[in-house]
Amino acid sequence: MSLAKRAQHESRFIDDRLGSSGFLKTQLNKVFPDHWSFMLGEIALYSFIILLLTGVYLSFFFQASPAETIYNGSYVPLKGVTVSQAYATTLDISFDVRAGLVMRQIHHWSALLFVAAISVHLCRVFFTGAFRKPRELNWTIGVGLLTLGIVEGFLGYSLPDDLLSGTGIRIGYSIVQSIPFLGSWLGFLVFGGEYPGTEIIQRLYVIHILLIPGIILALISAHLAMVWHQKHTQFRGPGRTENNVVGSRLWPKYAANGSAYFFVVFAMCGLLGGLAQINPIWLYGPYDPANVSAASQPDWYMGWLDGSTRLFMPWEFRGAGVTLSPLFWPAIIMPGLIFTAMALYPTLEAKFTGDRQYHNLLDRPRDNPTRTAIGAASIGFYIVLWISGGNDVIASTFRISLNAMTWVGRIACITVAPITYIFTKRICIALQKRDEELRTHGIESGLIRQLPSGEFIEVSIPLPDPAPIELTPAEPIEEGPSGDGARREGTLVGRAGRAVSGFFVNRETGPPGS
Amino acid sequence: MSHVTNARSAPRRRPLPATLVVLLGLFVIAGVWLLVAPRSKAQGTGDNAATVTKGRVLFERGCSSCHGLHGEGTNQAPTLIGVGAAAADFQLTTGRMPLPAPGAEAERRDPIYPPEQIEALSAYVGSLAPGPPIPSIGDQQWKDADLAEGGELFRANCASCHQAAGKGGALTYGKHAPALSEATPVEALEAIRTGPENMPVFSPTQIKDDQAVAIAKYVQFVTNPPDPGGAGLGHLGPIPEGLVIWLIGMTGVAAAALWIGSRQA
Amino acid sequence: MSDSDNRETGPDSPNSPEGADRGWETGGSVFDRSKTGSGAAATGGGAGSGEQALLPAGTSRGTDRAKTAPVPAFVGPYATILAREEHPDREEVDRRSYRRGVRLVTFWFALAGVAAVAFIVLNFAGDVHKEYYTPVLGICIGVAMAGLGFGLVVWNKRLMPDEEAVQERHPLHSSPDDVVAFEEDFARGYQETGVGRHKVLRRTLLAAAGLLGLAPLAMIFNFGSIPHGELQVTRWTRGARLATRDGVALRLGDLPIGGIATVYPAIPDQNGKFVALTDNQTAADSTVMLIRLRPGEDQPVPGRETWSVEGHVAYSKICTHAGCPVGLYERTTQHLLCPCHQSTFLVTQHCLPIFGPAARPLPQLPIAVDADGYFIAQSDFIEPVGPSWWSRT
Repeated sequence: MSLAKRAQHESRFIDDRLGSSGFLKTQLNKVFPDHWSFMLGEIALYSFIILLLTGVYLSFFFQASPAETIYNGSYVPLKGVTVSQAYATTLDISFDVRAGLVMRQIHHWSALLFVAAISVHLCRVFFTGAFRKPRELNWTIGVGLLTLGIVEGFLGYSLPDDLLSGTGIRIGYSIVQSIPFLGSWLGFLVFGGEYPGTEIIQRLYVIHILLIPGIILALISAHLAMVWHQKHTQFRGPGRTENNVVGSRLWPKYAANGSAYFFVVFAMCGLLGGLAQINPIWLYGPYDPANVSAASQPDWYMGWLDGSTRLFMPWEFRGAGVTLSPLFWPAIIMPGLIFTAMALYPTLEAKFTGDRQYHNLLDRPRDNPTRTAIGAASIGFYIVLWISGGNDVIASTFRISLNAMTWVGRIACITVAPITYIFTKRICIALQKRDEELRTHGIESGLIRQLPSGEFIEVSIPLPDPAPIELTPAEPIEEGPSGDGARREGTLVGRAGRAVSGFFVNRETGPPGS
Repeated sequence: MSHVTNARSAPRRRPLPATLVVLLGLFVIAGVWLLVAPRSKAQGTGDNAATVTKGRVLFERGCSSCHGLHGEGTNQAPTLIGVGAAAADFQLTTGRMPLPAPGAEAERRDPIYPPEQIEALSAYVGSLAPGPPIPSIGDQQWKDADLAEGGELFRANCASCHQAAGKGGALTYGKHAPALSEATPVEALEAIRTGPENMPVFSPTQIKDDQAVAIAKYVQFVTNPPDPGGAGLGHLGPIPEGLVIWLIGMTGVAAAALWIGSRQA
Repeated sequence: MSDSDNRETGPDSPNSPEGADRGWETGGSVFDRSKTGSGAAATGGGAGSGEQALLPAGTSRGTDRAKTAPVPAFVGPYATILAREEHPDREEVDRRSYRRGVRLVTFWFALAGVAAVAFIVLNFAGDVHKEYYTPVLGICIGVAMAGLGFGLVVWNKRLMPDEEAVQERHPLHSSPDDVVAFEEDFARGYQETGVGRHKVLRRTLLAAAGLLGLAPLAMIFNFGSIPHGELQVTRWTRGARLATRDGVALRLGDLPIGGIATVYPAIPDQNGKFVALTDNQTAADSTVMLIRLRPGEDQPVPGRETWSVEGHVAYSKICTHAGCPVGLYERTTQHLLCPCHQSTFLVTQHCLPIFGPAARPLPQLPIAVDADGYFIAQSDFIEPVGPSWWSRT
């Protein structure tokens, strides 16, 4: 039987029982826009699959037990040392289990890539306004996936019970304890008693391999189902409207691209897993509450929290029989506020702009200067905290004073965001104006011509009619009374600006000579 | 009276110029000095008192301006009385001393003094008051040193400043605990016993001699460990790992997306 | 250009005449059609129409293949193909480039196969203790996956026809009739349950459901215990000796000036032998730093002059900020630095925090020396060690 005939036979077999052909016919012809930046979320999906596959392999060899054992594997510098079973089995995976270390390293690199991909995908969605109606719910699910990914990674690298991650668990316990009213009770609840107890590794294990992966799987399914049903957004361009999708059909092109990309992502994780050593727990030794290593950092996606904790001032409030630890603000309140604001952002933006329309066409970042500026300022703030999380390593590597780095971080985390906001907004408006120039006056040719009247004019080449759609703004440029493109009239900043600008220059007549 | 002068047979004598006489005299004195003056090269360690004396001379010339004429210390440098020969040997062999400028941070450099002079200076400093002597490690002692015990002691006493893999770390106000990759075992022992700069001092009752040797052996191991997982990335932990995932992992995968997907809107 | 006009507005009529004869709806298997590669070429489209042009004149996707009149290759209720490259046929001029593409794809797939085999061989035959083992395994996986991936990409780009398809978006919200009908159905059903009418039913249902929901919550509390003062005390007691991790109790004179030692409590067992408690549970709150200062250097808190012995002072090693061990002692500046968040404590001033996020000094352990010269604790700390919590007194 030829391949075509065989495939036909199989598909009719299934259709007889499930009625699948009609459904599949629709789905195979679904059109997906194929801009490269729409593939960034796929990186996260594929790394999650890699995490599941490698994680299953590891879970057969790992024992999440705190019971003490004397290590007797092949890593000589730890032979005879008393360690927990969790640490010993991780050493076994790294040194004695066949393909153990490569699977462990692929697992860890994929985890780092998972959160990195979510972050990049989030930025793409944010700066293009893809989260607007009808996709607000999908955005919130995405923020949930980001949070879960970060927590899952933290739990994962804490399982081996080594000195580096154990220090992080200790700090985590202190953060839980700092919660008002409930802190010490919650700490005893999570750890099964006073720190460190004997329960925590086993509990982290169950959450790491069962609970959170289950929730992530469910959320990813909902996330993809919504994208599927609502259809992907697309950039403005020739032939693209709010009411269509232009791209390639699922079968065969889009499916081929997607599977190809899966293998490419797997290839990157595989190469990293073999060629770049990650988390060499044997160098840190087993966890001991009395020991710590210099240059102790969490994995990259938690660096911003380490930074915020390092930078915060020693403000502890004591009175009326209660104490509010300085850990509470940078480690609980700040991330809580940020994640909540992120999750609610579509609603907040819709509220402040009064925008209740459907949006299937994407903005370019310049099309919405306020949103882009908010995003850029947030990234700037995040990067300051991120760098501060490694300030001791930077201080040691570049021979800078540690204390100076802390103070620079403290000042920067307050000043960088507003400065970035102002700069970014100005740049976006300027880019919009440049597009408008191109659209209305054409390209500058560099030629100057003198008219018979003696006047000099610049010759410009008009763009083809109709002008490229990309140059058309999504919405008109926000012009304010000062004519600089910033809509600020009614806001506090606007009123303050008016008060200030009239101080030096007469606002009615403008600067002298104009 | 008439005298006969034989102008031809008696060559005319000119008196030597005064400068030539002076130069000649200087040469003679130099030659005598070279013959008589003590050699700077040591003839051997057998003569301890001579070494100490030589050390004192060197000390007065090169160290006393900061450390005081008898090593008692000034407001520019601490006292060396009681620090022991090991301290001087460590500081001089690693080139930390003499400091390039007062108040500069002492960092490992090429040593200024040759080994014989270091030996003499150390002997002199050691003679000021009882202190840790220059340690030596026997071959059998080195072989018997337990790497695992050294690792445990290193992680308990050293890693908090020098980092778990001996990469060094930051201290307060611009100071830092150095990386240990260039430290020889003897230097490690000396540092443990003498506490250079801001390092604490560990006495033999606290860390026994064979334990200190074990630590030195572990330091040698961990500063150049085998990396079964690939490139070691500096053994600095999550920071280089994060850089790799962004600069190589994410960049590479995004580049692949640029290749696979379309670039038009 | 009527064809294009129809295409622009999307396929309102599924059975438009131009589409019917494209073989999609005239029966036959999809797989047969894919084998024969049917579908006339079409590039560009909709040029010069008054409405918004789908593709501006001159736009072409992919390489410049032979262009025929802008006739879509594929029309159906689910997607309209705007532009489709001419399918490279064996008899065409681009045959060579097509064959090159096939060779390239074959190369990548072959490479992937070789790498997969290498992985399998190494998995069985490789020496897990050699340094090449993991890197080569990773390279095998990477090359195998990359081979598959690159092969598929090249196949997609060079061997499959390029296309740009358009699909209409239908409004996401249901028709107003459906919305109303659903709401009515739901409301009617709710009415039929009678829950709205019977307050007692409603309230008892809510109460039962709520209490049942609390049951698993109650079980969560089985995970932990209630703090009963464990946070207030450590294992230090009066007379406990200060022992190193090896179990050696320290005596006066063991530490040189400028020396430090991490010490644990050593409690006498029933035979009177002092046993050091160095387990993790004890270490987590009872680890202490014993530091020997120069005589006269220490400036004790008034009332605590008897807590130190000949310049020896003892402080909790557990940082009051987040609990990391504060191990970085700077001998000349008397700073005690915590490496986690850079809290700095001044040892000569009862470990007062002078920099960083810690807000409280390290608790001091009152020590003395017993008759045999051993350091002993006078009592437990007079305050809880470690980071703060809400009800900390």
